[in-house]
Amino acid sequence: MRETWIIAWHGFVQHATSRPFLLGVMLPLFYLLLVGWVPSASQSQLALLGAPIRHFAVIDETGRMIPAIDQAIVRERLERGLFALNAYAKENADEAKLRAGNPALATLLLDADPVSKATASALEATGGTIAAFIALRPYLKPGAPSFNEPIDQFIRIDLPEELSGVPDLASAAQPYLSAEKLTRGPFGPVHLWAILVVPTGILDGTASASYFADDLNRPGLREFLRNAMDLELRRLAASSLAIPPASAERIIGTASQIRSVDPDPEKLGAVTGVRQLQVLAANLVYFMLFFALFMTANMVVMALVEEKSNRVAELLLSCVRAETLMAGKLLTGLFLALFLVVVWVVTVTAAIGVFFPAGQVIASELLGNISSPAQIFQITVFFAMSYLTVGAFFLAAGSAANSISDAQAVVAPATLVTMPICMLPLVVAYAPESAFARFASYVPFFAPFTMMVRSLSSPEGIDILGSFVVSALTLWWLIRLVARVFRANLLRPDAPASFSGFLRDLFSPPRRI
Amino acid sequence: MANPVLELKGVTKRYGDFTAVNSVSFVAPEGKIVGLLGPNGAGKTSTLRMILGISTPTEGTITLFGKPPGRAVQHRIGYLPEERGLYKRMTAFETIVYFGRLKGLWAATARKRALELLEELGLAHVKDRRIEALSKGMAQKIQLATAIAHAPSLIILDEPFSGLDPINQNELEAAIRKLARNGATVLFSTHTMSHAERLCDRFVILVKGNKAFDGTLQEARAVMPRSVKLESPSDLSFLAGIPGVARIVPPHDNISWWEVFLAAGTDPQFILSACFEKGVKLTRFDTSAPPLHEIFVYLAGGNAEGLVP
Repeated sequence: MRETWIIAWHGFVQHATSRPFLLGVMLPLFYLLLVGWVPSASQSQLALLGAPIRHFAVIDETGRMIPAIDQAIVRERLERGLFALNAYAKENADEAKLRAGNPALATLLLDADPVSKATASALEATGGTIAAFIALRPYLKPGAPSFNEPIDQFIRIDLPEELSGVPDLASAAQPYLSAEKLTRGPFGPVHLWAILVVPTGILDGTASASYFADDLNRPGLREFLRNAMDLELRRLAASSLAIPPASAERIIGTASQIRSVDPDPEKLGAVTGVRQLQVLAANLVYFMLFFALFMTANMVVMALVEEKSNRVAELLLSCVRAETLMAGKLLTGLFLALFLVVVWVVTVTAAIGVFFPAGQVIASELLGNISSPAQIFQITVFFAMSYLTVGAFFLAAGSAANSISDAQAVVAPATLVTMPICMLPLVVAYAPESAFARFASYVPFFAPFTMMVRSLSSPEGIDILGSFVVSALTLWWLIRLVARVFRANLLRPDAPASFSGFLRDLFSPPRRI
Repeated sequence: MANPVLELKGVTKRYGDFTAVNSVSFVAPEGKIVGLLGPNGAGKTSTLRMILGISTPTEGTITLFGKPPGRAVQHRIGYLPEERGLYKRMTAFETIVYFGRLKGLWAATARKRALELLEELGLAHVKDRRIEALSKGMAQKIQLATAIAHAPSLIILDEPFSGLDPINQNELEAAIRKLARNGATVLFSTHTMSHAERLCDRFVILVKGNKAFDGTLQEARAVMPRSVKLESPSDLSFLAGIPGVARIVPPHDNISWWEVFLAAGTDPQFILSACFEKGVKLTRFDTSAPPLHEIFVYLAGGNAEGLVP
């Protein structure tokens, strides 16, 4: 074991200080700086996710619209809370128990239209989203995760001081609207998405409001503000027609309900808005781990080929057993991959913070999906098992090569063979708790990759344990198998430098050297 | 004979239909320098790899310090492979420390030992230089240092002199003698007879995988029939008819002398007397013992191709 660590650490230091590795480490950062992906992506992704945080300022010359807009924000928060609580209850509540114990709450959360204003009014009457969650708690299934209230979608902030009273607001605001300059938000610097100017003439219809924004293709905020102002204008109109305020509110609050039905909720494809962020996070994390895995596995294989061709391998074999050498090489790759992932996350997060503050929303949302230490530990364990599974296979294949060109002839097909194993879990990301995902968690070779993705949601404990056992047994069998080939190939100058030759060796007793 | 550090009994190694080593047996006594001699393809490297436990014999047994090759004895052996290989980007110091640690030394001990060896080998000034920046001779010395960093009891050197200039060869010879003086057993393979003749206490000669000889230089010389080398402007073929002469070989090709092989117990002075009586003038009368190269050629028959005197 001591020799294994010495070989692993030596390999890690050698690779981690090499130019190709350092280039690989910096690559995501280069991409980020080169194409400025995050600022543009952040806007589009936030719009796609349906949960953007857009900070806006209002210049209200009427004195009536800011209170109306603030009220609309509170209402919007309630409606989104209802939607999220509805999805949460359907997934985590014991339906029979809830219907028996609190029929009114069951009707509100399980049967009512979650996007109807009428349902939102009913929720408001019960005390709001958090009060409803507290009432729901006794009826949750064992081990249900905690409920996270959605973050605010629209936040009104003060107009930057330097924009107050400027004659040409559009020009002066441009640096703020394009995120070149940030303004002060409730918790730090933020991107000012839009400015709404409401003249007094809007009250009698003689003037229109002005909406300033850098991106007019995403109308979410504009429509939200329009609805808020429309509501206020209707109240004014009702008042001018001598309709009592209570009657006016009743008329304005009248809303229909639509019952939504998904005939096959388990089927892959459309995902709910609530799940989209998790899917994105799963895919991003998975791709990052995937690239780290293949990049470092290739590096270790190429180093082995070099050691074999310049006879360092022979010297090493005079010091340690072939199996020890193989284990050391595998650990080298694993250390490199983990190091790479950590450096990528840190550098990209830091770069976003420094260069693209507007992208911080996405970064924090994505990191929020892998925030608990237990979750990070679980992902690390399954990543390590995934790495060792693929790495052992690659290393045995690489041991057959005597030159870099040989290695390419063997490793390229090996990559193609392992690709489906690595790609399938991407499908799992869309439905991590589906029957398919659960099945894949128990299939040898697929298990660690699948559970690595599923770890971003909250899989059942039995699945985690089962997947771990399957992964560990597969790994044990695979390492024993490939270690024989590795040992036999290492000093064989006539080793088959082809993938088919490697497979023949793998499944037939190798010659003793 | 001192206690054998290494013992091979009927060791055979086959690769498919090809027999690289055929039923070879020999011992390496403690504190001695043993030469494993043979032309290219004689089975020397295969034998050394089996001793190191890198490969396994098809038949026969090998014991090192009374145990089979493997983990139990691995750290008591130092190995210098035939084809040198070191990590090009590592410094001389890091290289010795790394292999020292793989051979069981603790980090601090390995560092101390590396500094000592660099000093001993006159390489202290290149301590922090990368291997790729060293001359071939220097790299060779570093490679030797990696083999002996852990003070092994058995040092196995595969063709240690290949590729070295005469000065570095002499330095390496001195280093090997010093190792033996300090109590280590040295087993080295070579196809250069002069090194073996100067260094070895014992020889094992392999020819096409078979052992042709195992013993000391004196014993090897005893195997060969005694001969006398004569040079003369006259025809010496009359010596063939003299009692006590087994056969004579006249000058041929580049050989300018007559070689007279004597029957057992014949005194070389008898040949000198015969020539004197015949009134033949001799320009050379050489009774010195044959060099190892000649012994090898004699033992190998026609299989000495690639051998260097």
